[in-house]
Amino acid sequence: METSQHLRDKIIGKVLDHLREHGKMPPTVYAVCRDLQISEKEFYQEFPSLDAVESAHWRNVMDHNIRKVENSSEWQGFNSQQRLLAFLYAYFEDSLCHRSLLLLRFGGLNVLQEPVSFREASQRFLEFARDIVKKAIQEREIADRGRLNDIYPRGLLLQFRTVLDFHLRDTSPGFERTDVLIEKTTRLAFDLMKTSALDSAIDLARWVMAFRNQGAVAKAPCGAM
Amino acid sequence: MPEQSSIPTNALSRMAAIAGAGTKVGVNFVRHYAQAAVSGRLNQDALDAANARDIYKTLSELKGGPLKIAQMLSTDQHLLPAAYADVFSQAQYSAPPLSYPLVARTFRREFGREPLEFFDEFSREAVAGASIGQVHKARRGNLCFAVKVQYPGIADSLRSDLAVVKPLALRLFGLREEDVSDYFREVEERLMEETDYEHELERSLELTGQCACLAGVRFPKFFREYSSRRILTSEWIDGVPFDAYCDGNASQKERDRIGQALWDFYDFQIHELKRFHADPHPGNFLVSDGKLVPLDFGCTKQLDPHFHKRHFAFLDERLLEDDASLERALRELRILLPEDGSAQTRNMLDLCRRSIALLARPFHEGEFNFGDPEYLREIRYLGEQSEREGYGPKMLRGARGSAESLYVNRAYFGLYNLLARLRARVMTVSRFSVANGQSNPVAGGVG
Repeated sequence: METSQHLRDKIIGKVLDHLREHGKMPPTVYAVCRDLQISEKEFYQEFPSLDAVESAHWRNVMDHNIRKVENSSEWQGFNSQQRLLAFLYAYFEDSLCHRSLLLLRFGGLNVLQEPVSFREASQRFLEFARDIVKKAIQEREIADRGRLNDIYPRGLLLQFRTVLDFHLRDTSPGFERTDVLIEKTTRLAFDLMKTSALDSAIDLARWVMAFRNQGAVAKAPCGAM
Repeated sequence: MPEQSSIPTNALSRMAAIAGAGTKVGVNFVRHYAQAAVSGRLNQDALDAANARDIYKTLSELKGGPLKIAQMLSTDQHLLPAAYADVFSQAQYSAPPLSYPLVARTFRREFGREPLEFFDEFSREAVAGASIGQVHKARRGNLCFAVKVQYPGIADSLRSDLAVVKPLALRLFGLREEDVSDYFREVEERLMEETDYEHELERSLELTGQCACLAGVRFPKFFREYSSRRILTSEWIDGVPFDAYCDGNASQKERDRIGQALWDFYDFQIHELKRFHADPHPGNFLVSDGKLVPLDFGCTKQLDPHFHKRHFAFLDERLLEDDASLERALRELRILLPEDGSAQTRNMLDLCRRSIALLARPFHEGEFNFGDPEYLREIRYLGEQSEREGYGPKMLRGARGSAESLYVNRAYFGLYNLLARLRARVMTVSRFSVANGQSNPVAGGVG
């Protein structure tokens, strides 16, 4: 009897091989099970659908890289900014191992549109980012904005996706430009989080929203004034 | 005739000729060099002030690559006014440093290993900035290392930055592209060379090996096993930065000794090796235990023997006394062009003679005190005068001189500037033969 983890890995491996080779998902769960010589029941005990298999893969990649940097000997000595950088460099270094798959699935996508298959990976990233932000606030690397602190991890996810998007279009030797982008966007992210620039931006956004709402009210017959 | 006057002692005359003739590049850099040395400030009357300010602002806002290029163009204080060059070099240090994770990433990419797999200690923060990278201090056992790590993608951005800066620089100095395209090509070539640390390593090993015979100069060792295209590792030498040494309380005797070491270092490279360290910037030198320590060999220049011979022929004082020979020498170096009218030729001959005599003075005197502010004032006055007389960069057209001279000039202006900062008195007698394969030392003052 195989362990659950072992079986999961086997299924993920098979589905991704098919995806890499044929450029699309296997046609049915049945086909995957036949190739693996397992029952459909065994499959569905692990995954609810083929898409879930792919999601699990991206989450695994994310998790693997986060663990790798968190377990490195220098991690404890790093501040939050260095931790984020260490993760990003590790992730994109590692991404060369499955670049063709990344290109196939996420190449040319809009940064703001999250592919369904990447959602679990994003959740894992957000967990990581929350740890980073928590430490950064504790050690006063960035400003404590109370309830607004929740937007930090989201912002870092947006940065991650921006870098990913750029990386997939990067053609510089050794993907050096991706390194430059990681360096510059991380510096910018931390600068924004530590200064009042972000407060000003939020203030502006709130004013614009309020103004918009007011505009909507003004259209009503007994409008403001 | 220049070819036969086999006593070329040093390079100045070439730059003197350019300056005197009022080539676009020349006049500007002589004048600004001199101004910087005298007052440390830009004389706004001397430049198209408003224009220059605008362009300077644009350049300094670009930072990074353009900064490096501005520094190259300024040939540290020559092409660009000194005041600007100063600001540029300060701005350099405010460029954000590479993070440690990126340095580690670069190590993994270049060697497949982390810094701490090579060294027992490795500084997280950069200990110094280099124009296209930064320096970390490392230790292994008893040995300390200076590990220079290059910014990723710098070659890439330098090339595109040069395209941005070039039109600005042309406007700043009122130059025409076709007149100075050789110079720009030269600058670009050297810049690209500087981004290749493997090349720099070879040059460093070669030059430090060849110069090992020089007393008064100490060279760091370089380590091939810790170097790659993007990482260059040398021995760490504790010492006083050159600027700090100049501003410190070293005695005149000590200053003279360092100055002499500096002079001999260049003399040997230019006349004996015919390949030289073309970046005599104070940041590239330390003083350690009474010895001069050159640090950075990223920018070296090979001299063609024919060029060398013609260029240094100007140091013969007899040349200045003979119009026909002087004219011929200037034509050979394309400082005088066939299309110049006779009146212009005459004026330029006169100007060349004066500037050569002035700029070659240290060589002619055999021993020279670079601490004398009067000398630098004279150079400045000459630059302004040539401008007034209509030989400023905007007046003269045509590509004059050769790109090769750019780095010789850069080296000598840099050298003068360093010696002036040191306030050193040096023996300028060349100890090395320059032409015709003569091997005995030649006196600086000829004739």
